[in-house]
This record gives sequence, structure tokens and C-alpha cells, in this order.
Amino acid sequence: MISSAPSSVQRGQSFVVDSPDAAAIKKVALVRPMAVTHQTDTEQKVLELPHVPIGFSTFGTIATDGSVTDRFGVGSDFDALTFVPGDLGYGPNLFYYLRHDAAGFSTFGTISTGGAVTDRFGLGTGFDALTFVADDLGYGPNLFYYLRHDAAGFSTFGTISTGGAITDRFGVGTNFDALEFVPGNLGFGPNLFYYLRHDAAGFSTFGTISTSGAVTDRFGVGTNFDALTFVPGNLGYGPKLFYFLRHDAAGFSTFGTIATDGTITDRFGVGNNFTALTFAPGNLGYGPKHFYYLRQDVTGLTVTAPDGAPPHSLAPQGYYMMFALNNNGVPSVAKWVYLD
Amino acid sequence: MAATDTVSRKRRSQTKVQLDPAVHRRILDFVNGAVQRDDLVYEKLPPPTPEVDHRMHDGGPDEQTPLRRKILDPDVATDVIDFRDREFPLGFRHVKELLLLEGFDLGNLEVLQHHFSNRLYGAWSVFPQPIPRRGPGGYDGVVHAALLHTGKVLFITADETTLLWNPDDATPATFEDPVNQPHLTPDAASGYSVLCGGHSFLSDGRLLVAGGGGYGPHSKAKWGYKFDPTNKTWSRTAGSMVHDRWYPTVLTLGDHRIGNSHEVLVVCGHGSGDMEIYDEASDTFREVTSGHVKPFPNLYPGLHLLPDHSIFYSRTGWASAGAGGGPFVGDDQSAYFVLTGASTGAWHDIAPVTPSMPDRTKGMSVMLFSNTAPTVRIMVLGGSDSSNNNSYEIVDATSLSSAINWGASTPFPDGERRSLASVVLLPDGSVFVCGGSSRRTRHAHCSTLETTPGRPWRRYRPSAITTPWPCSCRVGRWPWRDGTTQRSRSSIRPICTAERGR
Repeated sequence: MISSAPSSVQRGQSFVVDSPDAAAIKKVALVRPMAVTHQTDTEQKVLELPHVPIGFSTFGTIATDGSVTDRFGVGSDFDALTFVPGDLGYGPNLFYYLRHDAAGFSTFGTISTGGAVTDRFGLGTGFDALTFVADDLGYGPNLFYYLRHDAAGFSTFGTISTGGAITDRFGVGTNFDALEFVPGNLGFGPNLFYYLRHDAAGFSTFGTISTSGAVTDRFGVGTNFDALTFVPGNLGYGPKLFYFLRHDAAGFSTFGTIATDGTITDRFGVGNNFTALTFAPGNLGYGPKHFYYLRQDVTGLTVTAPDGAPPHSLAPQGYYMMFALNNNGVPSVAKWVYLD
Repeated sequence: MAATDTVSRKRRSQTKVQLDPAVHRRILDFVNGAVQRDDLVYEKLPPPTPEVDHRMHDGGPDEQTPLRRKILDPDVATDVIDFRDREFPLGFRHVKELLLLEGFDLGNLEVLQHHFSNRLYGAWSVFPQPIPRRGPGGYDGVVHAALLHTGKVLFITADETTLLWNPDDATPATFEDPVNQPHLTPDAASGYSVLCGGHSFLSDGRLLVAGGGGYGPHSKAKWGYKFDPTNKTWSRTAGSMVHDRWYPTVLTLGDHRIGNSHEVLVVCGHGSGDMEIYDEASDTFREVTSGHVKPFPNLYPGLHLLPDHSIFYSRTGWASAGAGGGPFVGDDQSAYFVLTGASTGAWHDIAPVTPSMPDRTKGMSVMLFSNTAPTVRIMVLGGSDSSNNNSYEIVDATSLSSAINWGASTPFPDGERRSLASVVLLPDGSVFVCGGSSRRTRHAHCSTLETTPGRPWRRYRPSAITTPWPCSCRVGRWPWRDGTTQRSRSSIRPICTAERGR
């Protein structure tokens, strides 16, 4: 289950453990090898190591007939995607993304239609959702709008200028996942942001955020909704619909529509672990009127070694076995790791 | 009608049923132990123990009801109990007798086989190569075992030599003689060996064995011997201890305690509780000069280095050597030792001794960590007192003070009485308990990991270790005198766990 891991790690250091079964790993344990005098070894230790999954993201297209096509890999841990046809200083017809590193620090960047992925600037920690508005909504023109969360899951709405200025505007509540802007009036008022947020049980709610900060839940949509985008035209399912991605317990994602009256309709399954969705009406080389997605394969784990400060009594320097355990508690073959 | 019934029963009794003996025993224990219908409908769980499962304090009532696997259909369960009580009042002797019941078919038997299979319970197998005997001592077998970072296991054998074992090599080449054996070094002449020393791994992966002496105290057992796993070579420490030590407890201290120190604490032995500290850089020992006032009548006292760098005494230990039962004059006062300087410290008592407190002499103790509170717990198991050695206790050692105390004594899930049992922490945080002897049950064994039929468990000085190999862990065990090595593979956590970590 562990295909590679460093043979030596420093205390408190984060390191990468690769595994073809990484998505199934629920626990990583450091075990001190036993030295048994008669029956006993009072130095036995099993230390559970903090770990976060590493996701390799792939960019692809969804046609309105349901055909799903991976186009190219983009890198690790991409969270959000939006399309801007105009040139904001980085070139025309670019996708803009948010991605995060092992510590949760988010970076803003661009993806060209040919697959060139370019980090532009760092943002801070916990950025989840991104959308673009060319018009001035009171904060200035040509701004990206984001949702980010703190350690307690509380989300904040803010703006990103094309030059990299990050400004928190107002708090919105807990566990907001997706954000989309619609200038027209869909029955809730003009110039509103639309969001998805989830509760502790994973149940998602659709709602609106006004430019002044009024946050209003509109209706529940179901469990585990990940991404949201809006298309004013009719793609065969009707006009003025929101399109979503949601996942089931096994991580399988479904593409569907949300009508403004709250009607939720699954359209077709798309595959595993789809995380972001946006729409481009023009032909970007893959055909007109396509949805663009990011999906993520878990390829490994970022694991943190124990005990940063002396005296190192929790885990003295030396050799340890590192096990990865799945949902049933079944351990992998251990890798020997030297804790330095 | 009666004739047809007789024919049908006869035919069913002739059905060929071949089960692994261990699985067969588990099924019969399960069926014969049932008192009421639900005992067969659901798996048996140990009684709730709030002091053990601290999650019970956190959640609502739903969290306090663990999920139980369903086994037999309720109607079948009722019929089985009625049939057993009517036809086999002393209990079924073979599962073929169960099949005489009209409502119990091979499908039901398959369900039982699944629930009591070796895949769930683990199984021992005998390693094909006998442990060679080639030293001066008069016994075969293994007394100590240490898993090296090379993947090999170092044995200190009953014949008072040392031996390397490669568990993944089943050929005679699996055993290898280390270089420069301690019993052959000049100063160790006259029968001295590292047998009955104390062990701990040094920071570079070498194993330090402090003291020893063989089958009794030896005046030359003042040295430490280090085994280098890479070169497979023994070497003696540059300096000796002040006292010779037989059955000492040895603990690696937290490194960088003083400057860049790497130290090992050596406690007791057959002496009077005094301590010495081994320093890796100088390869010498120095005495603890004050505070080590606890006399430790127990050999191998149960000591644990806590994350806050204090040393916890769990009130377990060997008393005198040997496998015999108590009562023993032990030190039942749990305490912790705080190192206050380079060579000084002080003991602090916790948990006042009460008459009802089980005597844990010849019991075992392990330290349990969790990333959530309580983060540090000490568990003691078994002991020599046959009135209560089928139980364990836990103390929350996250924050030490005189006010902390042991939780209630809780029976083992399998009810076995265990003295000098082997206790192994598994990678999922479970505590695996196997073997052990008691005055009441001569060869007590783990109810889930049975021995090979006809091959007795070693009652004294077995060794069980967790290894890095496939599909989970193997736990090795080396019986006394019969010259074999047993190992087990368990792909699912053994049911015989007394505690599960978080």
C-alpha cells in the first residue's frame, strides 16, 4: 500500500507518502520496533501521524450530451475554476484556478486552453471558491470574488484584483463551497452571487449573497454538492439554469441542474472526484458550449512526523515502522523510517 | 412421519463436515455458550467500560451502542437453543450434531464459519525451521527477541548465545550467527551471558543490552553490549555500570534532554531500585545520585517514558524470576519519577494502594497514545493473583498528579486468566494479548489465536512482536523447549483485543 516514503525524516517535518491506494488510507501509524525482554517491552509505541491527502488534478471537458473527456493534468490539489474570455493582463481565453499546498496555502493562477498552467500569486489559507465579475459592483471592475474558510470552517467573502490584491469584504457563515455570479434577475434580485454551502451532515443549501453582504439561504439541494456554474442560454435542459457537480459516498460525481424554483435534476454521472466546474460558450478548441472541470485523484499523503521540541520523549530518535491502515484497520506492509 | 424424520436426520448426520479445528472450537463455544436467542443472533461484545472507551463520555446514547454483527436468523437461533437443551444438554460436541436439527442447514453453518474464520481471528502457523541449539547453556529456544531495522530479529537464546532470524526465509539459512558473541568476549568468561538483561534501541538503531548474567545474577553483568544490525556485530560498552544487574528495566530517554544527549536509563535489576544512565556519546554509564529511593522488589519493573519526560511505574514486574504464582511481596504503589537534573530526580506517588486493588505482579503494562484527550494512558493487564488476573485497568496519565487513579478493573473479553502474558500493540492501536500462564489454567491461551494442537504454549518468557510484513502484522512466539518458532498472520484485527486505540 505504501509505494514510496522517505527513509529518513526530521521531527515535525511534513513528508510525502505515495500509495496507489492513497484514497483508502485512513490512518498512518509510526510504530517503534519491539525489543522484548521475556514477555515485555514497555517502550512499545503506536503514534498516529497527522496526514492530508495529496490530489493530482486533471482538467477536462463535459459536453452537453454527457461525454466526459480528460484533456490534461494540471498538478496537485486544484480547488476552483472559472473562465474569463477577456484579457486581464495574462492573455485572453484563460481559465483561472485556486489550488492549495499541504499546509492549506492557496495560490491563484491560470490555465491556457493548450494546457499551460501558471501560478500567478499566493493568496493565503483556505480559499475554496472563485468567480469573476467584469462590472463594478461597488468594489471596482474586473475583480475575482472568492470564498475562503478559517480553521473553524467560517467562510469569508472577498475580492482578488488582477494584480494580486486580496481583500476580505464580509463574513458569510460556515462551510461555503461554491460561488457563482449572475447579473440578471432570476427572481431573487439582480447582481447576486449564488452559493452552495453544507451542514455537518453534508447536506447542501443553495442561496444568495448580495453585494452588500446580505446572505440568504434559498432552498436545500441534497447532499455533497461540490461545484456550481450558471448558463443563461438553453443547452437542451432549459434556459437560465445552474449546473452542479455532486458526489456520493464512494466519491462518484454526478452532473445536474438546479432551476431557480429549486428543482434539482441529476443529468448524468461523470466519474470520480470531480471538484470544480465552469462553462465557456465559445469554441476553445474542444468544441462550443462545453463545461470544463477539474477532477482529483488521490495519489499520496502528506504526513507530519511527531515531536518537534526537545526532550523528544514521545518519539526518541531512531528507526520506526510506518504503517498505512485502511478503513477496516488493515495495515499495509510497513516502511522503515528513521526519525532524525 | 417419525420414520421420515429419522431417515432425514441420519442422512444429515452423514454429511461430511471438515472444519479447521480452531474454527470448529470457536463455533462450538459460541453455540454452547448461548443462554438466550439474541446470544446467537448477534456477535458477543464485551461489557461497556466507560473508563476505557472515553468516547462514551462524549456522545449521545447512539454512540454508546456499538454496532453488533448479525449472525443467525432469530428463528434459527431459537431452534438451535431448544434443540441443544433437549438433545445435547451438555453441549454439542461436533457441528455435525447441529446439522441434525431440521431448521439448521449448511448455509447456516457457512455463516458461522465466516464469522469465526481464521481470516477474522488470525491464526498461528509453525515456522518450519527449529531454532538451533549451539551454545553452552542447557536449554533450547528463545528468551529475548528484538526486531531490527534490517527486518531481521535478534534472539537471545535459552542456550545463552545470540542468533539472527530472518522471518521471511524459511530455509535453514534463516538463522545466522552474529559476530563477536558476548559470551565469547574475554571479560564475559565463566558463564556470563546477556541473557536476562534489559534492552533498548539506541538512536542509530543499535540494540543496547544492559546487564544480564544468565540464569541467575552474575557479578560480571555490569556491562552493556551493543548489537549493530548492519554489521551483525556485538561490541561492549566502553564503561561499565557500578552495579551488576539481572532483570533490569531499560528505557531510552528523550534525546536532547541535556544538550545533544542520547541517554538510556537502567533501573533496578536484582538490586534495590537504584538507577544508572547510559550516555551514547561517551559510551559509559553514570549513577543517578539522588531521588532513586524506590526499592522495587519487582525484577523488570514496569516503567514507561511519558511524553512529558517523566517515568511512570505501572506497579507491574516480575517479582522474583520464574513462572510461579504469588502472592509476592511487590511494590503496588504506582508512581512517576521526574528527572530534575543530569543525574538527579524524585519519585511522586499516585493512586493510593487499597486492599481491593488487584496485584499486578507478573502482569504487563503498555502505554496508549491518542491524538485526542486523554492523550496518554497506561494499561496494566493480568498478574499472578488468580482471583483477578483475568482483568485489566487503565489510568489517564496525560497530566500527572497525586490525584490520578486507576480505572475499574475490567475482565478480558475472553475471560482468560493471564500471568506473564505477551502484550503487543498493533498498528491500529489495538492491544493484542496472548499466552500467559496461571495457576488455574495451566496453559492459558488466547481464545482467538490458538496454538497448534498438541503443542503447548510456553508458560514463561515467550516473546511476541509486531513485524512489518504483508497484510498486517505477524506476531511471533517461541515456545519453551520444543525448539519451534510460531508466527501468525492476521489480516483483520484480532478479536482478542482488550482495548482499541483511537
